[in-house]
Amino acid sequence: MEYYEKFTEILEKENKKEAVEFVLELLSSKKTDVVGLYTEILTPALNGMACSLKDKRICVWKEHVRTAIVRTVVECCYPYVLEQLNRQETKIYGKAVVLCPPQEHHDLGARMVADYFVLCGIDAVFVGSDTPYDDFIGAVDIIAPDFVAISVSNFYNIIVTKKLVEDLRKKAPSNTRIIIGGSAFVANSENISKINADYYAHTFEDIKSITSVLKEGRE
Amino acid sequence: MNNILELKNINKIYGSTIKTQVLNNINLSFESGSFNSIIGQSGSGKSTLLNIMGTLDKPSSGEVIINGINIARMTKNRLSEIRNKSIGFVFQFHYLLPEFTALENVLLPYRIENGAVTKEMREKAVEYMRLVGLEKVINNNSTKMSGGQQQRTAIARALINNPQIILADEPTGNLDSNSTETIYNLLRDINERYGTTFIIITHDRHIAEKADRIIEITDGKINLDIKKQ
Ligand SMILES: Nc1ncnc2c1ncn2[C@@H]1O[C@H](COP(=O)(O)OP(=O)(O)OP(=O)(O)O)[C@@H](O)[C@H]1O
Ligand SMILES: [Mg+2]
Repeated sequence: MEYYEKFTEILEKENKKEAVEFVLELLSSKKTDVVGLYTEILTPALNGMACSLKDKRICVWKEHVRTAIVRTVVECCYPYVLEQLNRQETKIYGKAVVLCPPQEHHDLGARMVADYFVLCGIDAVFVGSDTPYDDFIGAVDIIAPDFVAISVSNFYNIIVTKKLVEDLRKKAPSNTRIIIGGSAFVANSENISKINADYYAHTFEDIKSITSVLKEGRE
Repeated sequence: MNNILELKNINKIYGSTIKTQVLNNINLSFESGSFNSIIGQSGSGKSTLLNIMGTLDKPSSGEVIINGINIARMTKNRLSEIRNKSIGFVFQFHYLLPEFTALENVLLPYRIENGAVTKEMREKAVEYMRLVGLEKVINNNSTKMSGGQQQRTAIARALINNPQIILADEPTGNLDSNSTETIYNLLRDINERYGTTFIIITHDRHIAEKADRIIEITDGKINLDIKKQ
């Protein structure tokens, strides 16, 4: 936990250089690995961003700055994702598309999940929330992903996610598995069953067990 | 928490020769003090549903239960008392009575309930007009105001009797995003301060995403019903 505390301290100072150097040192000296970093340091740091200032506009600004720093940190981790993948000698078994519904601004959790898929031997494209809805639905039969993972933070976006899943059921290949996750479901788990997805995932272990089914078939 | 309003198996059918079913077996209950939004495409049945909740319209079948009592068991007098005292309305189209000033419109539910307007009540009405940003036009004839100003006056009017429930049909439909934010904050403040239950039909994502619960109506049915927490 001392690494988490140190990282939040750096994040509160909004020191991007120090944040990147600190994390890269943790990874290169094997004090933690990518999953440990995402799970025990970056995600809690993102969720725990407190702001005691009265002026909420400054809080929103600070949240943006800190999120941007964490984003840079995550992008810097990719060589370590690949290194771990090589070390595991994991084959690539399938492919996943990781996305957020349109207008979902919190997409960093989904970005980390994309790396989880890679570590589980599933080639993952992270498309954030920028992909136009119709274009994705229109192309999904050609992309033919084994998994589509949708991350929802703002509970309002559950509405469009329900529709997205219904449309995917019609257009995606029948073996495409749909996974949902994100803080909208953490805040109220009753919302999980309101969407016709195949799986709900919250942790790296969840992704691991969901993808292992595919692995067994293709080994 | 107790339910302030319940709908059981509500159906609404318009027309006798050519029948259109506008609401199809709606079951909903609303917790006292909750802040709810209703969304759905144009023509999906939202206003019809809200009018039935507010006892302004009757379902073809089904039950409306307010504070645990089926409204079919209430006398006409009791029902109009509830309508005037316990429920505040903001309508989608018809906001204000044209022969009155803005302030007189705001005071109308109070006058209907109590007769003469006291000094305190007048001050309270002026205060609400100030909160909705209209202290400058309180004495304007209601027809001499913009659409958005009329809408804000209607919101002040809905609040005047401190009703237990406020039913609002697109209350920010004519407002720019800044005024929408101001009105939303006002409604939330009243919700938190007095425990007033809000049921708001809205097309505005910024209002809906801030509610505790979103109910989506599709073709007269509940397509989705989600709570934030
Ligand atoms: N008095 C009426 N007689 C017959 N049909 C009606 C009547 N009032 C409404 N309808 C029909 O009922 C359906 C639902 O209308 P309603 O006004 O409840 O929709 P809404 O969801 O509020 O739409 P909007 O977002 O456009 O306000 C519509 O198809 C409408 O044509
Ligand atoms: Mg309507």
